[in-house]
Amino acid sequence: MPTSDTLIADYLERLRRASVDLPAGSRAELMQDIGAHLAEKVDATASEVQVRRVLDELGTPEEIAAVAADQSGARPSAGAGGGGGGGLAYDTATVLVLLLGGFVIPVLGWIAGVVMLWNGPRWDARHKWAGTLIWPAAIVFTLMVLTADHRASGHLGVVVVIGLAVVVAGLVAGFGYLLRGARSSR
Amino acid sequence: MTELRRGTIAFCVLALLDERERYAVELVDALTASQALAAGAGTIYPLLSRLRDEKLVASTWQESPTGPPRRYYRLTASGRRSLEAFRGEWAQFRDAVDQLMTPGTS
Repeated sequence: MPTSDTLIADYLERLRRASVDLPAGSRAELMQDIGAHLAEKVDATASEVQVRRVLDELGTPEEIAAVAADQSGARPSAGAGGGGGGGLAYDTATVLVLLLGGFVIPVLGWIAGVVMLWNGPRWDARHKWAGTLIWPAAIVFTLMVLTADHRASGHLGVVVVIGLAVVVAGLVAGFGYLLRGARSSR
Repeated sequence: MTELRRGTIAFCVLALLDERERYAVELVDALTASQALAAGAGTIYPLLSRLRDEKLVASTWQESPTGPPRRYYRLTASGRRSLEAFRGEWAQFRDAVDQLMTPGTS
Protein backbone atom coordinates (compact mmCIF):
# COMPACT_ATOMS: atom_id res chain seq x y z
CA MET A 1 0.00 0.00 0.00
CA PRO A 2 2.20 2.79 -1.32
CA THR A 3 0.04 5.71 -0.11
CA SER A 4 0.11 4.52 3.50
CA ASP A 5 3.84 3.96 3.33
CA THR A 6 4.29 7.47 1.94
CA LEU A 7 2.15 8.96 4.70
CA ILE A 8 4.25 7.25 7.35
CA ALA A 9 7.54 8.13 5.67
CA ASP A 10 6.46 11.79 5.41
CA TYR A 11 5.41 11.82 9.04
CA LEU A 12 8.74 10.37 10.23
CA GLU A 13 10.66 12.80 8.03
CA ARG A 14 8.76 15.74 9.55
CA LEU A 15 9.52 14.38 13.02
CA ARG A 16 13.19 14.00 12.12
CA ARG A 17 13.36 17.65 11.01
CA ALA A 18 11.30 18.97 13.92
CA SER A 19 13.55 17.24 16.47
CA VAL A 20 16.85 18.50 15.06
CA ASP A 21 17.63 20.51 18.23
CA LEU A 22 17.26 17.53 20.59
CA PRO A 23 20.36 15.84 22.04
CA ALA A 24 21.36 13.07 19.60
CA GLY A 25 20.49 10.24 22.00
CA SER A 26 17.03 11.59 22.85
CA ARG A 27 16.31 12.19 19.19
CA ALA A 28 17.29 8.67 18.12
CA GLU A 29 15.19 7.21 20.92
CA LEU A 30 12.18 9.32 19.99
CA MET A 31 12.42 8.26 16.33
CA GLN A 32 12.74 4.63 17.42
CA ASP A 33 9.74 4.86 19.78
CA ILE A 34 7.46 6.53 17.23
CA GLY A 35 8.62 4.02 14.59
CA ALA A 36 7.77 1.13 16.92
CA HIS A 37 4.39 2.71 17.72
CA LEU A 38 3.52 2.94 14.02
CA ALA A 39 4.72 -0.61 13.37
CA GLU A 40 2.45 -1.79 16.19
CA LYS A 41 -0.61 0.19 15.13
CA VAL A 42 -0.36 -0.09 11.34
CA ASP A 43 -0.19 -3.53 9.74
CA ALA A 44 0.27 -4.35 6.07
CA THR A 45 -3.47 -4.43 5.44
CA ALA A 46 -4.24 -1.02 6.97
CA SER A 47 -6.19 1.33 4.74
CA GLU A 48 -5.16 4.92 4.12
CA VAL A 49 -7.94 6.13 6.43
CA GLN A 50 -6.68 3.88 9.24
CA VAL A 51 -3.15 5.20 8.80
CA ARG A 52 -4.37 8.79 8.86
CA ARG A 53 -6.30 8.09 12.08
CA VAL A 54 -3.24 6.61 13.75
CA LEU A 55 -1.14 9.62 12.72
CA ASP A 56 -3.81 12.06 13.93
CA GLU A 57 -3.95 10.26 17.26
CA LEU A 58 -0.18 10.60 17.63
CA GLY A 59 -0.36 14.38 17.21
CA THR A 60 1.76 16.49 14.87
CA PRO A 61 5.50 15.75 14.71
CA GLU A 62 6.09 19.38 15.73
CA GLU A 63 3.96 18.94 18.86
CA ILE A 64 5.82 15.75 19.86
CA ALA A 65 9.21 17.36 19.20
CA ALA A 66 8.21 20.40 21.30
CA VAL A 67 7.25 18.18 24.24
CA ALA A 68 10.48 16.22 23.80
CA ALA A 69 12.51 19.46 23.87
CA ASP A 70 10.60 20.49 26.98
CA GLN A 71 11.17 17.17 28.76
CA SER A 72 14.83 16.93 27.83
CA GLY A 73 15.29 20.58 28.89
CA ALA A 74 14.02 19.50 32.30
CA ARG A 75 16.78 16.91 32.35
CA PRO A 76 19.84 18.24 34.15
CA SER A 77 22.19 16.47 31.76
CA ALA A 78 20.81 18.18 28.64
CA GLY A 79 23.15 21.15 29.26
CA ALA A 80 21.56 23.34 26.56
CA GLY A 81 23.07 26.82 26.02
CA GLY A 82 24.86 28.32 29.00
CA GLY A 83 23.03 26.07 31.47
CA GLY A 84 26.11 23.94 32.14
CA GLY A 85 28.22 26.91 33.23
CA GLY A 86 25.50 28.23 35.53
CA GLY A 87 25.21 24.78 37.03
CA LEU A 88 28.93 24.65 37.78
CA ALA A 89 28.82 28.08 39.46
CA TYR A 90 25.81 27.14 41.60
CA ASP A 91 27.27 23.76 42.61
CA THR A 92 30.65 25.21 43.56
CA ALA A 93 29.05 28.11 45.45
CA THR A 94 26.84 25.64 47.33
CA VAL A 95 29.78 23.50 48.41
CA LEU A 96 31.82 26.58 49.44
CA VAL A 97 28.97 28.08 51.46
CA LEU A 98 28.32 24.71 53.07
CA LEU A 99 32.00 24.26 53.92
CA LEU A 100 32.97 27.83 54.94
CA GLY A 101 29.67 29.67 55.52
CA GLY A 102 29.70 28.67 59.18
CA PHE A 103 33.04 30.47 59.69
CA VAL A 104 31.70 33.72 58.18
CA ILE A 105 28.34 33.73 59.98
CA PRO A 106 28.27 30.99 62.64
CA VAL A 107 25.45 28.45 62.25
CA LEU A 108 23.42 30.69 59.85
CA GLY A 109 26.08 30.45 57.13
CA TRP A 110 26.00 26.67 57.39
CA ILE A 111 22.16 26.65 57.27
CA ALA A 112 22.32 28.76 54.08
CA GLY A 113 24.61 26.11 52.57
CA VAL A 114 22.20 23.33 53.55
CA VAL A 115 19.29 25.23 51.94
CA MET A 116 21.32 25.71 48.74
CA LEU A 117 22.24 22.02 48.78
CA TRP A 118 18.61 20.86 49.07
CA ASN A 119 17.53 23.29 46.34
CA GLY A 120 20.32 22.10 44.03
CA PRO A 121 18.86 20.19 41.08
CA ARG A 122 21.94 18.04 40.52
CA TRP A 123 22.16 16.20 43.82
CA ASP A 124 20.13 13.16 44.71
CA ALA A 125 18.80 12.45 48.21
CA ARG A 126 21.93 10.51 49.22
CA HIS A 127 24.21 13.44 48.38
CA LYS A 128 21.89 15.88 50.10
CA TRP A 129 21.86 13.90 53.33
CA ALA A 130 25.61 13.31 53.20
CA GLY A 131 26.24 17.03 52.62
CA THR A 132 23.92 17.97 55.47
CA LEU A 133 25.58 15.57 57.89
CA ILE A 134 29.24 16.34 57.08
CA TRP A 135 29.66 19.21 59.55
CA PRO A 136 27.55 17.65 62.35
CA ALA A 137 29.58 14.44 61.95
CA ALA A 138 32.88 16.38 62.01
CA ILE A 139 31.83 18.25 65.16
CA VAL A 140 30.62 15.10 66.94
CA PHE A 141 33.86 13.33 66.02
CA THR A 142 35.95 16.27 67.27
CA LEU A 143 34.07 16.23 70.58
CA MET A 144 34.66 12.48 70.89
CA VAL A 145 38.39 13.02 70.33
CA LEU A 146 38.50 15.77 72.96
CA THR A 147 36.65 13.64 75.54
CA ALA A 148 38.97 10.72 74.87
CA ASP A 149 41.89 12.95 75.90
CA HIS A 150 41.08 12.66 79.60
CA ARG A 151 41.35 8.89 79.57
CA ALA A 152 44.48 8.69 77.43
CA SER A 153 46.21 11.80 78.75
CA GLY A 154 49.63 10.24 78.26
CA HIS A 155 49.19 10.42 74.51
CA LEU A 156 47.14 13.63 74.43
CA GLY A 157 49.11 15.31 71.65
CA VAL A 158 49.09 12.26 69.39
CA VAL A 159 45.35 11.65 69.86
CA VAL A 160 44.49 15.28 69.04
CA VAL A 161 46.71 15.36 65.94
CA ILE A 162 45.37 12.07 64.58
CA GLY A 163 41.82 13.05 65.46
CA LEU A 164 42.06 16.41 63.69
CA ALA A 165 43.70 14.77 60.66
CA VAL A 166 40.77 12.34 60.45
CA VAL A 167 38.29 15.24 60.71
CA VAL A 168 40.04 17.22 57.96
CA ALA A 169 40.30 14.14 55.72
CA GLY A 170 36.60 13.45 56.32
CA LEU A 171 35.66 17.01 55.35
CA VAL A 172 37.79 16.92 52.19
CA ALA A 173 36.36 13.52 51.17
CA GLY A 174 32.80 14.64 51.91
CA PHE A 175 32.98 17.82 49.86
CA GLY A 176 34.81 16.05 47.04
CA TYR A 177 31.95 13.53 47.01
CA LEU A 178 29.42 16.39 46.64
CA LEU A 179 31.32 18.05 43.79
CA ARG A 180 31.69 14.75 41.94
CA GLY A 181 27.99 14.00 42.44
CA ALA A 182 27.04 17.35 40.90
CA ARG A 183 29.52 16.99 38.05
CA SER A 184 28.15 13.59 37.06
CA SER A 185 24.67 15.11 36.65
CA ARG A 186 25.73 18.18 34.66
CA MET B 1 -5.81 23.07 32.07
CA THR B 2 -3.14 21.74 29.74
CA GLU B 3 -0.46 22.54 32.34
CA LEU B 4 -2.38 20.75 35.07
CA ARG B 5 -2.85 17.69 32.90
CA ARG B 6 0.74 17.67 31.78
CA GLY B 7 1.94 17.80 35.38
CA THR B 8 -0.23 14.89 36.50
CA ILE B 9 -0.02 12.64 33.46
CA ALA B 10 3.38 11.27 34.54
CA PHE B 11 1.77 9.99 37.72
CA CYS B 12 -1.12 8.48 35.75
CA VAL B 13 1.53 6.53 33.82
CA LEU B 14 3.19 5.41 37.08
CA ALA B 15 -0.23 4.37 38.44
CA LEU B 16 -0.94 2.25 35.33
CA LEU B 17 2.48 0.59 35.70
CA ASP B 18 1.81 -0.06 39.39
CA GLU B 19 -0.76 -2.66 38.33
CA ARG B 20 1.52 -4.52 35.92
CA GLU B 21 4.19 -3.91 33.29
CA ARG B 22 2.87 -2.59 30.00
CA TYR B 23 4.17 -1.61 26.60
CA ALA B 24 3.81 1.94 25.33
CA VAL B 25 0.83 1.39 23.01
CA GLU B 26 -1.09 -0.15 25.93
CA LEU B 27 -0.31 2.92 28.04
CA VAL B 28 -1.42 5.23 25.23
CA ASP B 29 -4.67 3.30 24.76
CA ALA B 30 -5.46 3.32 28.47
CA LEU B 31 -4.78 7.06 28.76
CA THR B 32 -6.74 7.88 25.61
CA ALA B 33 -9.68 5.77 26.78
CA SER B 34 -9.85 7.68 30.08
CA GLN B 35 -9.33 11.00 28.23
CA ALA B 36 -6.51 11.83 30.61
CA LEU B 37 -4.17 12.70 27.75
CA ALA B 38 -4.72 16.29 26.65
CA ALA B 39 -2.06 16.25 23.93
CA GLY B 40 -1.33 13.90 21.04
CA ALA B 41 -0.58 10.30 21.98
CA GLY B 42 2.97 10.66 20.64
CA THR B 43 3.84 13.02 23.49
CA ILE B 44 3.82 10.00 25.82
CA TYR B 45 7.20 8.88 24.41
CA PRO B 46 9.30 11.86 25.53
CA LEU B 47 7.56 11.54 28.89
CA LEU B 48 8.47 7.85 29.16
CA SER B 49 12.09 8.69 28.26
CA ARG B 50 12.22 11.27 31.04
CA LEU B 51 10.69 8.86 33.56
CA ARG B 52 13.32 6.31 32.60
CA ASP B 53 16.14 8.87 32.86
CA GLU B 54 14.88 9.69 36.33
CA LYS B 55 14.85 5.94 37.11
CA LEU B 56 11.15 6.01 38.03
CA VAL B 57 10.48 3.35 35.40
CA ALA B 58 12.66 0.74 33.72
CA SER B 59 12.14 -0.78 30.29
CA THR B 60 13.03 -3.93 28.39
CA TRP B 61 12.40 -4.97 24.80
CA GLN B 62 10.33 -8.14 24.53
CA GLU B 63 9.13 -10.26 21.63
CA SER B 64 5.53 -9.73 20.63
CA PRO B 65 3.41 -12.77 19.75
CA THR B 66 1.96 -10.96 16.73
CA GLY B 67 4.24 -8.23 15.42
CA PRO B 68 7.48 -6.31 15.98
CA PRO B 69 9.24 -6.31 19.41
CA ARG B 70 7.76 -4.07 22.09
CA ARG B 71 9.41 -1.94 24.74
CA TYR B 72 7.82 -2.90 28.06
CA TYR B 73 7.87 -0.47 30.98
CA ARG B 74 7.72 -1.32 34.65
CA LEU B 75 7.77 0.67 37.88
CA THR B 76 11.02 0.86 39.86
CA ALA B 77 11.17 1.05 43.67
CA SER B 78 11.83 4.76 43.39
CA GLY B 79 8.90 5.16 40.98
CA ARG B 80 6.67 3.40 43.47
CA ARG B 81 7.76 5.76 46.27
CA SER B 82 7.16 8.75 44.02
CA LEU B 83 3.70 7.45 43.13
CA GLU B 84 2.79 6.88 46.80
CA ALA B 85 3.87 10.43 47.68
CA PHE B 86 1.78 11.80 44.80
CA ARG B 87 -1.28 9.76 45.84
CA GLY B 88 -1.26 11.42 49.26
CA GLU B 89 -0.70 14.92 47.91
CA TRP B 90 -3.26 14.48 45.17
CA ALA B 91 -5.97 13.41 47.61
CA GLN B 92 -5.34 16.50 49.73
CA PHE B 93 -5.20 18.80 46.71
CA ARG B 94 -8.35 17.32 45.19
CA ASP B 95 -10.29 17.73 48.43
CA ALA B 96 -9.10 21.31 48.81
CA VAL B 97 -10.09 22.22 45.24
CA ASP B 98 -13.43 20.42 45.56
CA GLN B 99 -14.18 22.41 48.67
CA LEU B 100 -13.32 25.72 46.99
CA MET B 101 -15.27 24.83 43.85
CA THR B 102 -18.42 23.86 45.74
CA PRO B 103 -20.25 26.98 46.94
CA GLY B 104 -21.24 27.08 50.58
CA THR B 105 -18.74 24.55 51.91
CA SER B 106 -15.86 26.89 52.68
